[in-house]
Amino acid sequence: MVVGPNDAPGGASTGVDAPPALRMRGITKRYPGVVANRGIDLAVERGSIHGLLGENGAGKSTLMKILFGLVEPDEGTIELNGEETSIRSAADAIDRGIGMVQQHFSLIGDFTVVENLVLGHEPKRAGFLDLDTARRDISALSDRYRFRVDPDKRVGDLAVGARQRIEILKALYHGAELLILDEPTAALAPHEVDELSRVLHELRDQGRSVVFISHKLPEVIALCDRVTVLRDGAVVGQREIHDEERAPGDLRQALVGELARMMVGRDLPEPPPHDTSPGDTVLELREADDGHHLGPVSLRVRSGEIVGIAGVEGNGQTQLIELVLGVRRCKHGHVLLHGDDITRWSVRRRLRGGVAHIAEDRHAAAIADQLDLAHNATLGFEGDPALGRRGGWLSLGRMRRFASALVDRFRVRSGSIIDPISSLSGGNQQKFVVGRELSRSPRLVIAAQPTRGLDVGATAFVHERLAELRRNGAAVLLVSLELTEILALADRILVMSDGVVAGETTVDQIDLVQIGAWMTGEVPDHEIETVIA
Amino acid sequence: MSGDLKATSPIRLLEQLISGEQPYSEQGRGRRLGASVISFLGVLVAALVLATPIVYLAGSNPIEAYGALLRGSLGGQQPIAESLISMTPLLFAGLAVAVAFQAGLFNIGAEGQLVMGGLVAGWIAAEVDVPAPLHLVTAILAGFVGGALWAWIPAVLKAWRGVHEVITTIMMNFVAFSISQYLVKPGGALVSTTQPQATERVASAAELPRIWDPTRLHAGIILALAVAVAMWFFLYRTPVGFRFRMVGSNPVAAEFNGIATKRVIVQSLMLSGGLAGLAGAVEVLGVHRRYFDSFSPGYGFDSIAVALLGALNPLGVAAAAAFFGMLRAGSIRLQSEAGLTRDMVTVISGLVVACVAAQPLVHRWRARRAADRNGPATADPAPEEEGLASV
Repeated sequence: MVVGPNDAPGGASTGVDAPPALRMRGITKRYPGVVANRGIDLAVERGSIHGLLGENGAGKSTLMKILFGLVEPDEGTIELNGEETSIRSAADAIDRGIGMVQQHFSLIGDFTVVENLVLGHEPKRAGFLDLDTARRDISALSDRYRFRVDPDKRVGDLAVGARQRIEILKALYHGAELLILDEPTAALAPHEVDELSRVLHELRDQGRSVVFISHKLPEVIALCDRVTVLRDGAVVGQREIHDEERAPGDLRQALVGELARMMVGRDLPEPPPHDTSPGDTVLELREADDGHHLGPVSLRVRSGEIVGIAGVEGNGQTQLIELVLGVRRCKHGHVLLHGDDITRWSVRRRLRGGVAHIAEDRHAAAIADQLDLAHNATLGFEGDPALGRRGGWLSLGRMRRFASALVDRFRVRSGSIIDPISSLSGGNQQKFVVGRELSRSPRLVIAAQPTRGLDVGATAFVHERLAELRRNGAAVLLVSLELTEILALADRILVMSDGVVAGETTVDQIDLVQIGAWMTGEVPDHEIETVIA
Repeated sequence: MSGDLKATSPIRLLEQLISGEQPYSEQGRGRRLGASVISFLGVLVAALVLATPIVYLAGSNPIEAYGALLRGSLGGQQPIAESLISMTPLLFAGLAVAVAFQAGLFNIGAEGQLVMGGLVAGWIAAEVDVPAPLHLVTAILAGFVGGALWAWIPAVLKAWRGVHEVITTIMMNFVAFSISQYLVKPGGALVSTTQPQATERVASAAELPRIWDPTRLHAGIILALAVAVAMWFFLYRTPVGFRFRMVGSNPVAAEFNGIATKRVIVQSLMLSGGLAGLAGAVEVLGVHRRYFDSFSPGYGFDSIAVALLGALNPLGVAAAAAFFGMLRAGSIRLQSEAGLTRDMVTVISGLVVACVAAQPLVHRWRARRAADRNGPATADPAPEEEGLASV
């Protein structure tokens, strides 16, 4: 991180009496059954980076959607530079100098950077598109904040980090004085995070203000001048972060503890203990290759072991999961389960053979949104005699009892078993899916991003279940974009890059620099001995 | 659009009919059945209401026209029998379209499959020597197989080549029409010696018996109702039916959970084709007693409206087929008494499809207006905002 001695908090603000760039007062937003925001006060000084910290569901996103005009508050006022204002749409927000960078980018891959930036406000001369002026403006803007972006590059050819900088550039090009970044580091590799923080510091130093939304403590501490912590829709704490607290040491530890307690309302849950030693090989890939995106990949997962697959999104993790599950054809090489060659087995045969799958995108691959809980519980078990009557009929009663059992056992908060599963919150849908998959008594579990979008309680719940599987001798293949999740759970870590395993290490030999290098496909500056136990 | 709607109450009423929403909000155990019955009747009434100005513009008094329709379909033994006769192929073909829809496939080829089923059944019944007790059963099964095989080609193309079934099933319709015309044209391989454009009369052992003297009503209606019940059990109570519906709801999730989606595509489209083939077979064996070129007045096309009005549920499809059967039977009286052509049936069936298609849109309008009344619109239903309360 580049935090120099001159980067005093609020360094560029003009004076003590200047009104803050943004002041939100008493913002309240109620949804049926949930108060997303309750009386939130937030002030963002001009020329500062303000962290908005909180767990998933704490109300951060709602608050920022209110600021950006996407959601209308029930109560409360918004002041920009001391003037009360009403923001009723995203267009209003942009007019008033607010820019938002969402978690999911809104760029068009086939367009160049310039074309993307002018989209919707195309400059014209004599009726024709005038990109030259725009290109000059954008180059100037890019140089001013040291964005290092080529305006004529096709966006689809750029890395994720560069695309994100273009989103920021787009907001600036449309005149943003106040930038909102919603979980901006979720899809970034470590060195891209550094690049992002450099850009944000540059913006701050030139007098723009940034709201940085995150649920990750370390990056908020490293980057922000002030932080506001939300929990259950309310502000639970607000404080400045001093430079001496950023450096590793006791001060930083104290700050981490303080913020974590604010965020969670108690001490952070302990990660489940690593208390088993691995047994026989359950899953083995030998030079497996889909002939396209993946491979060749060789790996083993043993019983009583969690193997974590780390990597930046889109480096073959999805294809790996599909190949192990049998949805994707293995062109070359072999997949073995308990020593049996299952390369040509159907998905159903693999599932019957003791494979369970927690899907990375449950809406796409695990549930049918409009069907009820009973049907979604039955998916994958529809031929199972336990859910049938004599003669192969499905028993609606048994389907419903099975769904009820999952709801009880996995503490799913739901209405009726015959309501569509889309009536559940995301976390409860996920618990339901996890429950269904674990009820296979699996010997191999493929857990793909099993806690994506879950709150801290649901995350801990899923992690406990995975650790419990390990204790009971199952093999777990954990694919996650969150390195912290992998570090908390995995016994061995493989890093995927560009469809192959770029490196392998164990938890006790962890070297984050090396992992970062593997992730981005860079040649590591020092060799590390991979430990293959 | 919604601004206009606020002002005008008849359109509001229409909206409510189409949306099928209940005036009361307390919902008990039978709410699904109640909701679907209301939705069914709402669409029906809405389509008839929308047809009124068209009837008027066509130069007829709507009240007289609907009266004629009613008398022609329910006013006495003959009209009721004729309604049931028309209902029979519509029910088979409607089930065909519904089964494919449940598996996520749009089978527009029911008409062609119906033609092939009728042709094969008519040929077996007239030309092939089968022991008398088995002749009828064989002919009916042959109709099923004929339709199923006709659907097999689009099914395989869809499953293994990803060719869209809408395109292929439409094209297969034309191939079927041409083949049947070729076979029964003068000098064709199957043409009758006494009757142009038709096959020989079916053997008496292969006829579907008449069941309600003195009308033409034949046993096909019993078969059709039995098949509707069987299809209900199949779709909602068997593992294979479950797989069909799961592939229709979310094919990716189905695949990831061990359902062989390609197999389901082939199975469902062939079952669909077979059911459409039964429609043709029963019509040939029960009504005409020989295969006529162009014996179907478009049952296969009307069946799309039947399936949609029946909300793809076999029992709903039976109710929808009854309605369309009444329309067809009543249209004769409509012609003679109200001076309207039978095309009015096509108009009404088109309006039914339009009303069913409009349902989601109407739901959205109503939701938005409800939100406007109750406070600011909620662009975000806060799906992930479950908070810490669940811990």
